[in-house]
Amino acid sequence: MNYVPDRPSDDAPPAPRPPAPRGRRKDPLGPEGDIGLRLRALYAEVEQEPIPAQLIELLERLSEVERKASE
Amino acid sequence: MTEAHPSFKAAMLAALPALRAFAMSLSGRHDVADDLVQETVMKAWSKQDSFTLGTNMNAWLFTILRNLYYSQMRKRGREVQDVDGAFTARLGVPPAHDGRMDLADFRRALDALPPDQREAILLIGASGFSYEEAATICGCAVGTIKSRVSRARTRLQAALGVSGASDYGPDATTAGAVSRAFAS
Repeated sequence: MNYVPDRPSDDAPPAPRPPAPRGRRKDPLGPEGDIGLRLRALYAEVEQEPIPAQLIELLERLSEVERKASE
Repeated sequence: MTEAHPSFKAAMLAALPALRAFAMSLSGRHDVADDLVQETVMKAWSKQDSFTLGTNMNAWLFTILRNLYYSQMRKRGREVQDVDGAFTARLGVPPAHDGRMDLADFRRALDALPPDQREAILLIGASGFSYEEAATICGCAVGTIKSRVSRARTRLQAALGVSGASDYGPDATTAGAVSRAFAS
């Protein structure tokens, strides 16, 4: 390191940089963001529907087949 | 222990609502979406040895579903693409929480996005994936996802700005009401 101080050594150390604002702060896609809220509202409608019975049955069948195969 | 992989099955079950929403956003039709989810479940089950429990099950399932969807789309030509935008069109979000915050304009703006941008912003903003996960799901570079999301966000924000022109005042009350309405 070729650090050459350009000020007298008794000078106060440089003020620390304010922490860079990151992520989430005003992220429009974040939990409170205007766009994120709306996107999730659109998805919520589908996500809150009950899972179709045939999908549940499919999973049951698959695990049953697997259980029998492993006996 | 009567089941070989109870936690695999449980994890699949837990992933189904998010997976169905993604399938709807791609296909725009409930029947197509549910067929896609069903095929995804079968495929994932047959490939479960390649999945490590504890890693992101949703990202893995979304990748499988997306690949299935696009390979079907290639086979069927334009038929599937013609329903573009129908996802949001058929989601009848009740307009009544708050007049100014109704979602109709937002839905139209989302529908008007190019499909790759819409997919990217939904993966990040609605499904909650990281940029890295979304890139894996879409099989593209992280930078590509970021730029798609950024372009989509700009357009959506412009649409919100237009529809919410009278909305610049203090907004805490409205924002709170909207959060509650959407969180319920």
